[in-house]
Amino acid sequence: MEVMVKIIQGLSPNTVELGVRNKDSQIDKIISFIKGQEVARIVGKKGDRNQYVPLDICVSFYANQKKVYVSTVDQATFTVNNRLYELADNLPRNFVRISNNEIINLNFVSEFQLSKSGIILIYFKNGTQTSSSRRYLKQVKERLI
Amino acid sequence: MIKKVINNAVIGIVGGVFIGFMISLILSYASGSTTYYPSSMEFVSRFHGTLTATVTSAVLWGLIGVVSAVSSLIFTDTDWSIVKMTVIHFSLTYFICLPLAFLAGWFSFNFGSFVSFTIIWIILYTIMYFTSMIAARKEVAAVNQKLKN
Repeated sequence: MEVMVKIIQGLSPNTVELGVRNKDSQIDKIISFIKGQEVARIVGKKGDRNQYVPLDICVSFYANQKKVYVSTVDQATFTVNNRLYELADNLPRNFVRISNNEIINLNFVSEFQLSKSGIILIYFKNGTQTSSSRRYLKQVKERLI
Repeated sequence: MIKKVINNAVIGIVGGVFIGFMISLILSYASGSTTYYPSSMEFVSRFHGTLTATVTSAVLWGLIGVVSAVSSLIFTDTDWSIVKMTVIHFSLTYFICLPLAFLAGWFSFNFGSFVSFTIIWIILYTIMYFTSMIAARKEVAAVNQKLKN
């Protein structure tokens, strides 16, 4: 694919304009790549302070009583302003949904286990754990390539 | 979620009435009769005519369909454990579908058929539980294998 870069004066910050003949799957891939770059960090809120949380330290995004939180590898927790479904669509591929109210970073998973009652236990490398149900395993497997 | 429940309920009514009607048609033929009976003679004789018996049967088939279709969401749309899914699905079909099936005249209501049905139901769900657990164990092993690579 021929690539031409044109500087557009007056384009709003953090914006890329793509000029294409038609929108096909290749363009979709480029778009998701760009979006992937965009969310390499996320705004987290702790107390009344906002700060950037790099995605590569995020272990899990979870919803609890209509609020969304992110927990990091050093076990800090921040409130996030995005909804879980938005995160599921925009986070990089190593983030995968494992239940109705949680998205995890597969890079931090140390092991999956099936409990006696038939729930999937997920152990993280930082010693924390969570649980999932069987119906999400297929997607997890697909993401692990 | 509510949309899915309503969706499945509609599919359940249509599917239940269709399947019920087909089975009763086949059974009517198989019994060598020349007229249509929605269910057993014993069931039909409880009504003034076949028309009321057929309408009652259709309502019961629809209800069985609704419970089956809606309760299947337990397996596809909840995050419950396999034990909880199996037990709650068992309870729904056993305590709702089974009485409906008896009411529809599929089985004559006596102690023997009740006990044999209960045993069959328990065996069926035990098999379901073990199959799900074995499949889940395989899936977990596959995911762990991929994680290591």
